[in-house]
Amino acid sequence: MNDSLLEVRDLSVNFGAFAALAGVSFRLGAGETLGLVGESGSGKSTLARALLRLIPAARGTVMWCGVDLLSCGPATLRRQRRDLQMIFQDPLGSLNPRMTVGEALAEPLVIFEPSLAARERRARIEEMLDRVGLAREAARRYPHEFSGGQCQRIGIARAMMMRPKLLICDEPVSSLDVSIQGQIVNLLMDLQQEFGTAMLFISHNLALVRHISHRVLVLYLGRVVEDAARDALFAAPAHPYTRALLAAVPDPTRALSGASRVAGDHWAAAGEPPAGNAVPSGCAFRNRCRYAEGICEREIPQLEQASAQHAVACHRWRALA
Amino acid sequence: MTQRGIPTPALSIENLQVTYALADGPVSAVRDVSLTVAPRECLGIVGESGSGKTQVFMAVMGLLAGNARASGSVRFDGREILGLAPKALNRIRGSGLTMIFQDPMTSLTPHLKIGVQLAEVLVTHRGFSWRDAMRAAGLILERVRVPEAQRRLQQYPHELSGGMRQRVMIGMSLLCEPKLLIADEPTSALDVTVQAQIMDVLRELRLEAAMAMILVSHDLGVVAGLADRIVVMYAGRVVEDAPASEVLQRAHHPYTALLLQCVPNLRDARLERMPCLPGQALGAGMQERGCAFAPRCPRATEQCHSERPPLRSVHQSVQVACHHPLSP
Amino acid sequence: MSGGLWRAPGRRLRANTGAVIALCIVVILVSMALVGPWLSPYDLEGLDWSHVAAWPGLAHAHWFGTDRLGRDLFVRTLDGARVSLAVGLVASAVSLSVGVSYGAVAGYLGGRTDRLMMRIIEILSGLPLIFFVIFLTVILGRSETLLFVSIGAVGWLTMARIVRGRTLSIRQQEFIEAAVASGASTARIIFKHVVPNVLGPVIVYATLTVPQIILFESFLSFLGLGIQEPQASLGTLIAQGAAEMEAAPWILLVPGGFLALLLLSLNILGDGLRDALDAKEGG
Repeated sequence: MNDSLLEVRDLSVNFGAFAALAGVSFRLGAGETLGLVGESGSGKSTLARALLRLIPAARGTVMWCGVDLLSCGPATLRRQRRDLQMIFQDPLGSLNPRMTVGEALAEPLVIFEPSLAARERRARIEEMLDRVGLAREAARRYPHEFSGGQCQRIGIARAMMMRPKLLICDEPVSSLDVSIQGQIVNLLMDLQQEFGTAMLFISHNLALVRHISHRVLVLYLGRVVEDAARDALFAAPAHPYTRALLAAVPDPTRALSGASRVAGDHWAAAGEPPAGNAVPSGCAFRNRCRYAEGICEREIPQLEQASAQHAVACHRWRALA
Repeated sequence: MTQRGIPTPALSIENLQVTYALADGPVSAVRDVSLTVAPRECLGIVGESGSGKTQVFMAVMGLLAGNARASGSVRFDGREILGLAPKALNRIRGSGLTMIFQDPMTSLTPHLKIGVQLAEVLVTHRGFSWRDAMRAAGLILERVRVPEAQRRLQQYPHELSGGMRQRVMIGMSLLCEPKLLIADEPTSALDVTVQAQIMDVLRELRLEAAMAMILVSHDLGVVAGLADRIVVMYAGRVVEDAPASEVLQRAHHPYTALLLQCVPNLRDARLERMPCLPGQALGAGMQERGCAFAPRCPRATEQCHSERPPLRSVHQSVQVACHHPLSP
Repeated sequence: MSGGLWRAPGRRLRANTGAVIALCIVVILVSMALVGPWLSPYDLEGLDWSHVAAWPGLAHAHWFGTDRLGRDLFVRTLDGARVSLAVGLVASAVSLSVGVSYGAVAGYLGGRTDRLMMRIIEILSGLPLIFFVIFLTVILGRSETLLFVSIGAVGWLTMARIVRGRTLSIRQQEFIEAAVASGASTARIIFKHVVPNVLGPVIVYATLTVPQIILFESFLSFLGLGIQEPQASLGTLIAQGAAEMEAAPWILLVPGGFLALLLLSLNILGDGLRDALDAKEGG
């Protein structure tokens, strides 16, 4: 809790009248992986982009190494980008189709180390291609010649060229085959081990988040509903939404035992997230929640510490524990 | 009914091949697939990208792209439908044989109300009057658990959420009481919590309706919750065809076993490294040499690289295409 | 950029017979324009008094005949074609660079800057160009500089609009976001990321701009506003030929036919390029 690498306070983003993110706060330490879990409408992708000031925020601060990324000047921001990199959900789409892989990997070097000699630049590119498991001759080819998994490796190589302190991963493996997802996740963990990079891993896939994260943040309709250490979250989820998420993951072994043959699992959330304009008053989850009561309709629940490493935003968490 | 008293399969595919004629040369999407679905059975088809699983059913429904050629035999309720003229095929599609897709938004006409689209099916295929058809549409929406069914009939597709639209699609496909429903990745575009609800809807339908179902998915977890039998496809071929319980507990093909390990699992202890398959699947245009899975298989031998394993019965109701199947 | 990106469009273009023929014709015409005059024993301005207004023929080596002053039409036509092509290419290049930069900047920056830049284009498009040119000629006198300026003013407006449109859609794509996130400056993003990806329509439009500009130049020269005597361009030759149409039709037909054939081939080639590149341009 001492010197966090990244400290986000009260981050809010509006798209017109619609609040995509409301009052999000969290901390991230060096070399730590924070998993960000949420479904559609949770605001998780909005959060990633707002952190990097790719979209404007309405309110809040993002303290990064003593600088507030949201209010600093453009030149300072661009300098900080050296240490703040991102990989994207669409591996092919995040690469310029008219640039060779070599040119794409060279770009960070050209931007941040312009005095580097061409030979040295080429050596660094080849070294990075080796590290992410691609052949050196890939540098001469174009993105469309590679598979989804390979494109994501290229994206990772590009992001890691400057050895950033923080890597934001926005659903990096969602569009890849299940058998390939593990390759990319293992690669990310290896790179974290080697370079000490902190990661913000955004995903709707709970098993992935469980594998890679040290701590987990659960988002629902733009608000943090639970913030806990990984094991604590998965062993004893406090928020009804988290419990519903965990229960909804289809599990082959459970299928066999006949448990899921019974229609409807107890915890599964009813209905669907309301469309943007129709966010309910008070707790945004209340009209899907089994346990909603009067107070849930009147007051928006704030994050409370349930234990040392576990915060939850629910009026009734004590009763449900 | 055939002579021996074995009911005619709802769908019977034999030696299906689908080839695309591309500028660079012909590309095989499906290379010799055979499978059957008994009436009232739920068959799960599992495969990743390049497995050809969607192409098989596009061929069955006659929805292949213009530059694709399908050969082999596809029998629906005993009747050959591959290569059938569009008019005859239309009569079967939508009434006896229906399909729902991953993205319901593109399957629904954006400028027509939901009720109208549903009613139209009955008016066209069953000769209902519009009034009766609208009433039946309301009933079907209730059957798929759409809340406030009457109000939804008056809404347009864009006013509904993803999960709701998928329920409408399921309802639409049930209107004519089909013998077979093919669901191609019906939950892949939906949130996990909504996915669970749609799975429940499909599960209830299995119990109530006298209907066979084919569930195509890349997600073994989704398929496991519903299927009686599972077919695993890789690089355009069937590599395993066995009852669901067999596949989940005693997978015979190495690919199936590895795929099972990769299924996200919140129950087991956390492993150091995430299970995955090395390399990548056979590209669409690439030639097969021996077993298509051999380059990635931990058990591959010389024979695997040179000789393609045929689909064989290892014991009753289990078929595997492997030279060295896992013997549980 | 190397073979990898242009192979498929190249193949599609080769398969398009019409475009291939058009390309061959263009190549032939251009080669003739460059090399032709050296093949003839005559020169641009020489007056052959023994063969005034002579029919085309082989005997006197005036392959395309001569005009009213006895000047060889073969040399004059090809020389005129060379001038027209030069003007067309240079002016196209200028309008291309101005148009692409202007459109990419407007499209990428968006907001007020974009609106202002587009307003300027709308105003310029509204000007009746011919009257504008005539007006300037009256004020400033005839000059070739004026010719280039007015021609340059023609081509870049539509190019800028096209590029701006493409830029607006490319701006939404994830690789642009990735470039911003990597710390690239705005200039770098516009010129290294946006512009290379709008090239498809740009190339197509450029091949259609060249004939448009040649035609415009010919028109200005025909009106007497452009290229001056004794220098020839296809426009001036056509003007002279029009006067002699009844007595010596070839004086009109030769340069007129050359121009028509050149423009037709360039347009067909442009269409072929668009078809070849379009299939690839999926965003």
